[in-house]
Amino acid sequence: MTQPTVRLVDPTGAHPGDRRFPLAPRPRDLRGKRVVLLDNSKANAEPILRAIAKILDEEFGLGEVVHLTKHSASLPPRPELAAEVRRHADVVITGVGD
Amino acid sequence: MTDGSRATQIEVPDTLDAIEECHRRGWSDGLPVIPPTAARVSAMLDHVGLAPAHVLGEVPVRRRVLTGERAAANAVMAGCLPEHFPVLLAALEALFEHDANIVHEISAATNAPGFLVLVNGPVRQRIALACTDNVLSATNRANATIGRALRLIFMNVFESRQGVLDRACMGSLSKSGVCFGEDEERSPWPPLQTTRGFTAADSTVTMMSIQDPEMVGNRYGRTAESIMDAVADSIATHGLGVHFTFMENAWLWLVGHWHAEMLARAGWDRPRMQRYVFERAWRSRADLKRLGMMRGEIVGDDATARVPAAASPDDILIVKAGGDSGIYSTLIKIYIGMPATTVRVRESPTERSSR
Repeated sequence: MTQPTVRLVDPTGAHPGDRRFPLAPRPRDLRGKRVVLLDNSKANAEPILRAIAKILDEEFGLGEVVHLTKHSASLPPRPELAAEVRRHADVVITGVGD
Repeated sequence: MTDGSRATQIEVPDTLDAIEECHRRGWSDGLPVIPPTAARVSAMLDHVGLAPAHVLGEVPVRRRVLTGERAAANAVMAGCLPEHFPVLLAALEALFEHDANIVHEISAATNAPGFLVLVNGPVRQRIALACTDNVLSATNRANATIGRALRLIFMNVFESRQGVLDRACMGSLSKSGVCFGEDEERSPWPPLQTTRGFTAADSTVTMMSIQDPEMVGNRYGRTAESIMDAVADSIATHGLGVHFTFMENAWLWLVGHWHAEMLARAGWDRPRMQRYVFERAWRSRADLKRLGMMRGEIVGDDATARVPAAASPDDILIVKAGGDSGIYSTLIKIYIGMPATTVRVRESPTERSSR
């Protein structure tokens, strides 16, 4: 006798296709590089990013350092801000500082 | 749009095995689910005339796509009947219409917002949705399963899994999904959707992210003002003001039956009530600093500086709901992320295709 079978539809999420995001080329060194500190808007993001930039500057001698802030910690930057980042940055440092 | 891929199918020997398989695969919220069989999923889709691969929306930051088939599979698992599906689809439409990435904001938050599907219009009766007694914890199938379906979609499709992309610290009861209707029939005021661009004949869903509700127990006040003062006071202390300082808060006041009676008898309409409560729902900046809601030492005019609990009177939504067995209201904080967004419920395939 054949075993009765229940066929289940997998309810889990579909991937929206193969749209990979290649990583930007890594800089070979940081000397004189323009750095954007991309603040995620959490309360401690600014102190931690500034501290990191200070250490990097002391060690490598950075170029211009620009501090920009996202409108929301959990949403991607708005297009205007992304454009601003592109305009100012050879290197972007971002992170959560809650 | 029909470029969403079809779901894979899994075979198991019988129904009980199927329930266990759903647990094993992490598809459940902890309670048993109805096995999402191909036939049940098809019935759900056919009811609304939706193609399985139809893309309902995409969450870019999670790189996940919600298709009709996957929405239906989760609705089946939650225990929804096909006639519940249009309400769920309206809630999802509101979500995608606002900003799909809000899925991440709501569910990755260390704070623990849930979501509320507030239903207005004739669809409430057609699906036997509770609007009165025990409204927030009714045992009606529609109330329980529509909210649950949304939770399962967040987990299974949007990857809001505990400890991974669901980072809630304390969690919340409303995270399981809350769905109920306005008690329009006994409300002294026009139904909510008529204040948001729809008519009383329209069935709507107003979707929002929320924090857990809090009862407002004004049982002995003898005036309308006493009730509204209690609501304003509750707003000013609710959850001791997570994000109080952003002044972006909105609130949903579920006016209980007898509170509504007293307010209406004294001639209060919705706009005046909103204004009255708005003007009284604030705390001093000194309070917020003293209680750790705001950074910094108390300085200068902090003691007299008022921080309002909402941006405007319109940000205090007023809805009549609940039973008549006691004298209560309930206050719900609409968590920043998904503001109250109202969309029409399209119950039939014809309505859907006429969009």
